[in-house]
Amino acid sequence: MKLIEVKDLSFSYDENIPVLSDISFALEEGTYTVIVGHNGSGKSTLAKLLAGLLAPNKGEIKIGGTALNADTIESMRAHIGIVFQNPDNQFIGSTVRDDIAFGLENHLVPSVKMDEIINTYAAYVSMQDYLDKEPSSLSGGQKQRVAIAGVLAMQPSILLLDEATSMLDPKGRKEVGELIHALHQKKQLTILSITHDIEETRFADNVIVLNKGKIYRFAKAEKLFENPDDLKNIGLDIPYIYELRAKYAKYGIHLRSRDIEGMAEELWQLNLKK
Amino acid sequence: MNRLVFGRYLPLDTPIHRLDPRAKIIAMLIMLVAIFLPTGYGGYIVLGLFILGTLLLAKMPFKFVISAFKPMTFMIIFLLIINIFSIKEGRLLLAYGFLEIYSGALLQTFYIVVRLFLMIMVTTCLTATTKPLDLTLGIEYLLKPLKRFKVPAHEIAMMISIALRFIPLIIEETMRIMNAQKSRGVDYEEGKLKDKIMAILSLIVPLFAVAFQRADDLANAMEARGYIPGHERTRYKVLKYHSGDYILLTIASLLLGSMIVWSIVL
Repeated sequence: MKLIEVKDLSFSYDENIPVLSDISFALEEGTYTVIVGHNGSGKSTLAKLLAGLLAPNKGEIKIGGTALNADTIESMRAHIGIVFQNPDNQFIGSTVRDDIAFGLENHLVPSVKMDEIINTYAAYVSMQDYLDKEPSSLSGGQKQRVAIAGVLAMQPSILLLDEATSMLDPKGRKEVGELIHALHQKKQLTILSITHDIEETRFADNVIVLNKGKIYRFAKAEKLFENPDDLKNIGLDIPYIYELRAKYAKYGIHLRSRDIEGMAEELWQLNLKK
Repeated sequence: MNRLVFGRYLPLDTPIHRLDPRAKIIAMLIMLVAIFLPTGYGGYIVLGLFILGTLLLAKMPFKFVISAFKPMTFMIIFLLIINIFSIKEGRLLLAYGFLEIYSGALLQTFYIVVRLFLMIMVTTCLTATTKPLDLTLGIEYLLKPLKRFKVPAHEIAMMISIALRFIPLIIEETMRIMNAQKSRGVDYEEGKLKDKIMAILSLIVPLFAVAFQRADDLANAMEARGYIPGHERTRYKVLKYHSGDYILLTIASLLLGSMIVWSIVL
């Protein structure tokens, strides 16, 4: 079943400057999709539209068959979880515990049930030992993990990530990246991640490339990176591993790995066969 | 940022810390009224002993309580000077040219200072033993009856708790902008008044811009997580009165009652 359907979506803050025009795509349940593009390509606006924080000028967004509009948005909120870029600006509670509880309180979860839910989701993101910590004593990566727990506690059908790792240090980025990967693999969560970190596309099923408010490419990661020049034409890089694969392909060596270790393995085995 | 500052919460686990914030707020208000009743020094000694006992129970370090008085020194000196010139009662203690000091002036100042001391100790008892968020929760509960008169109790509490949550971040941001502007040659310390005002402007404008950006982000995050102002919400923390709370309220009420009687009899 198509979980997310976007049809002819257009949006502009100012009539003369379109931010997004005629965006259409559909995503299956349980898929991991990455949206890449330059600054100003309309990525974050698309995230806000999908989360129902902005209303489109034209077109329609359907989540699980229900169209997002002013009447449905309140009941649809719990289905769409979004994690934003700045770790500090989305930490609402004064402790980890309170922050995870915030969404539950809004969705009228009875007080007696909250502790159990909080403990479960804090454990999901490995923050169970930090429940009473204040945000000022947590790292950026930990704060983002709490934000993810807060969103997951509402049991959304989609997890939207709006550059959730871009303000983190390399360690935090790795932690959060691995968590997202695990959520997709183990919990079959539908994930839509907006990023300008092209390396994140390595784990994705689909990649949507946005350029100047339009969809430039919508393809499987494998397919998209077969031709590196295609993306380089609009000034985007491709993941290192695919760059390497493309180079080997020129010599007739077709590698299949998505990570460096796997590729090293493939390469030395290749040597053995010769 | 680990200094002992007046109004700061001290995370300890004592019977006073565990009391219900509502009971503590009400008890504080009762005590403030009691302190302002004109009972003379006898009453202050009784109230002082009770407050001191509470502070001891709450394991407040002596230094912490003293640090609360430091900002008051200037005010006390100011009060003393005003009183010396305005109160001409009691015995004449000192006459030096136009300066005449009467015992009444000193006594009056002493009373005011004692009252201030007691007030600060009472408020310290509350703020140092109650988490800011519990405090706002207590205020929210206490304001609830006013909902009938369209007082947005929950929204007020939410605003206070968010403000408390963001104060350290805004301070950090101020420091960062100040350093950034200093590195561009802005001088905050020296120069004429006009230059100083311009320097402060170079701090305030970016600070506001960043604060608005933050507010926008926060509003988005809250909305995305289903927050609708004015709508019904459940609460994670539910306040409940325990026996300790009743004891505190009883003692505070008894103290107030006896102070009222005392001030009438006197």
